[in-house]
Amino acid sequence: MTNGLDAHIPEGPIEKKWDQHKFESKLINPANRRKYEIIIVGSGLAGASAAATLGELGYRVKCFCYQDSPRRAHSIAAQGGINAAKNYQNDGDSVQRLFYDTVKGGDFRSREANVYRLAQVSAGIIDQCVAQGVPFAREYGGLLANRSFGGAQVSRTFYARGQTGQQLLLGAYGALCKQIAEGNVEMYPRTEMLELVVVDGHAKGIVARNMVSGEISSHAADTVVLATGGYGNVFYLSTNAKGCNVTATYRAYKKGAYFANPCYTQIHPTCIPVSGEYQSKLTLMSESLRNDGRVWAPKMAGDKRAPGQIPEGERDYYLERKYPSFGNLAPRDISSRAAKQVCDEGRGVGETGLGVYLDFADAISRLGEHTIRERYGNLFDMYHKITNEDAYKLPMRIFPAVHYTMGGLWVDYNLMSNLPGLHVLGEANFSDHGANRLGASALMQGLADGYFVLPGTIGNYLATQTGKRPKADAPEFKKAEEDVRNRTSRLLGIKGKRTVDHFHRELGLLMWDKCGMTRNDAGLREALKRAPQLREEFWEDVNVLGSGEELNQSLEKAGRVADFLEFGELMCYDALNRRESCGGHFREEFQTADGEAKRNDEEYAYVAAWECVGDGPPQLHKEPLEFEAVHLATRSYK
Amino acid sequence: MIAPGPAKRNYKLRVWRQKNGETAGRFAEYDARDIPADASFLEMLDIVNEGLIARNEEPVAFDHDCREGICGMCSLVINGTPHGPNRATTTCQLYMRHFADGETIVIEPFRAGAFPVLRDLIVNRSALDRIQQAGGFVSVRTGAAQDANSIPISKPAADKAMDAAACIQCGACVAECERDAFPSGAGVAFLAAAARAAGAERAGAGDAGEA
Repeated sequence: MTNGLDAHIPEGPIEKKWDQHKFESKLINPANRRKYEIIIVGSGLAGASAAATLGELGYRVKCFCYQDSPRRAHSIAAQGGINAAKNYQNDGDSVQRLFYDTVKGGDFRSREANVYRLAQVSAGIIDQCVAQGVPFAREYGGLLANRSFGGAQVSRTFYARGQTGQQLLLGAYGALCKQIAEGNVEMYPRTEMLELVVVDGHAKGIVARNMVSGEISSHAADTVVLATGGYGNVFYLSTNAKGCNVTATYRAYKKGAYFANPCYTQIHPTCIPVSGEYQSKLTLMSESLRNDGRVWAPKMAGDKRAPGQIPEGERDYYLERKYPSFGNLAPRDISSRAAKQVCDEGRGVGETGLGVYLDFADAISRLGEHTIRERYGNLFDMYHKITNEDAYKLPMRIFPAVHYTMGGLWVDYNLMSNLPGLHVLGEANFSDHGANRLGASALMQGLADGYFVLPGTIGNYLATQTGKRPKADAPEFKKAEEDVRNRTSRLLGIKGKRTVDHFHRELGLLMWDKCGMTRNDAGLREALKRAPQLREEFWEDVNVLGSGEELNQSLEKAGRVADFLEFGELMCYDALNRRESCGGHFREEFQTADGEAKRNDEEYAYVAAWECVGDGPPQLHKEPLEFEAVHLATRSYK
Repeated sequence: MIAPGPAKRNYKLRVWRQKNGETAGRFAEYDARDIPADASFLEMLDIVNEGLIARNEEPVAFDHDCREGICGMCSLVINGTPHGPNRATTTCQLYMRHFADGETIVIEPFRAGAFPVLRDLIVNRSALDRIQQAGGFVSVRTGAAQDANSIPISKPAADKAMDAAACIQCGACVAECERDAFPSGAGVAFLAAAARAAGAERAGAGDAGEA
């Protein structure tokens, strides 16, 4: 075990670090910026905001996305809102409080300095988005409205109905479109990054595949920025879009970038339950619904009565009972585990018994159906389309589902990987959410990284790289292209009997079972045994039809699932190593008498950053976490 | 409309197959068997594709991503209507309970001069991005914004802006428009106007004095 990880956290008191760092950071003079080329992979909130801002600053940017338009990146599906320490409600919010809530929400497994900076820049994000025309919800007086999200006792969440991610992304997409029109950003839609290219120890480009023609091409740059989202689809079923994948970050890992805390995954408590084997994805019902909805299950196990037939006294509003001060707005990890516990006790509802109720009856009688419709209409509509049930009349049935991944590539304070020249933004990095992300903080982090942080720090790297950009026909690129072509022809040449989805489903079940909402030593060891077998079966028996020189969706999926099959193992190594429970990582062996997560700060107050070492097990590097501004404490929402 | 029927249903599909933009396409017929009524339309296609691959036939290519009705990627014409029979419902949010057992379902790509077919049911909609690039944005430099509450906007104006901004840019309007009335790409012109109007609403959110 080595400790070569320097997070480059600036000296000084926490509230001065970012300002001081910005002042001390190297600048690139405006006339010189056009001499630098930047590759950005991904066009969600982090990627689009970074591409737009860096293009506007005068850098030459190439932006890649696998969707047919940058505006379709999965940020678009974020529903509930975006946090910011504006204190518009005068309810006691501040940068310090948002910082504290986020560190505590992450169960004291995030890096203080990064989180403080996130809270500091949060207010500017709202200003920026309003100026872009993002139609946030407003009060009748014309000022911005707020609502509450889990893990906070203030109202600091800004929202645009249940479509906040869509509206924020359209703002960033608009800014990106402007830079494309001005020629500062060159956009590559329907193009998938398949390899990171490292030249003399620095990330200097990518190899990508045109998903329409199949053409493989090399792109050289002075720095590469990955904003490629999370890896929740390793579980097959998740709230992620079908195309979300780990390939970009996993390829970077294979080239030397450390992957940090891969076992930290967020299981969101309020999703529509699974209804059958054919199911291809899970749909989130926004956490904002817990502002007005009350979560309950029957007190009696095996109670099959319709919800309306169960009298008040026979209902268990278990979140309100167990966590009286946060109630239905207990954080996601805690609410999810509580739902699982209820179902494990045989008190789950619906045909499968894997569900609990989210009930709006009280809110509707208090506020009227009109107000509830205005607040959550699109979510109720979506629920109706999927389940054919009317949530204005019957309580929603909900169950936890994989939603977000806090782990990601390791980055320092500048958002640069240990692999020089590689920057990582948004969900793709590990930096801000520790072991559990609070609701409405993903949008905040994506836009903070893209609009404000990276543009302030990227100069520190670029200033040292004048004239070092390789040509795209350098031998390193040729080699990477050859690797991509070989992998493609290998996949197409297997001609086995099972489909890509078959393997993906099986991997998903294994991960959900052994490395899901709860984990234990024996289960993780079983998964570490099974995963390599499954991978072997995949490479012997998968059936990928067609060719590489055409639009081939099976081939696209096969490449992604091949990477998931390896990545799942890395998650299990990390989960096995972390012999404590914290946030979304719940090891059954480590819990308190009342079933809460039991941290071990003595031994595990560190970021686990994994290095790829050939075909052997990954090697662990530790970044110790030091808490100076907040005191390590048992996380309680009671 | 819910089509009453068994929990598992059978359908005859007529699906547009086209190798690429350069070759001509044709309809192919497939049986979709034992489809759960609670499966989505795209999950029905997933099931059909798994069957095709098992027979070593190339699966039907179709665009999809979020499968929750917001990304705008899915783009099928179902029985002659973009996104199928349900109002304000994307293909991915359409469920098989809306199709009667034994029904024949015709599945085509969006048909529009501006949206050339790339393969099977996938079309090129980059024209929509070009419209946005031509001015569908509000010009504001990053970091140059005033405090968000310094300009109040009346709630009705904000709500109206939100209504306009909720468009998912799937292009169904273009497919619908060209199909019925404007064979020569006039649909896009219509869309451009609509996008400008939406852009104006978004810009309007920044106008002073409405509150």
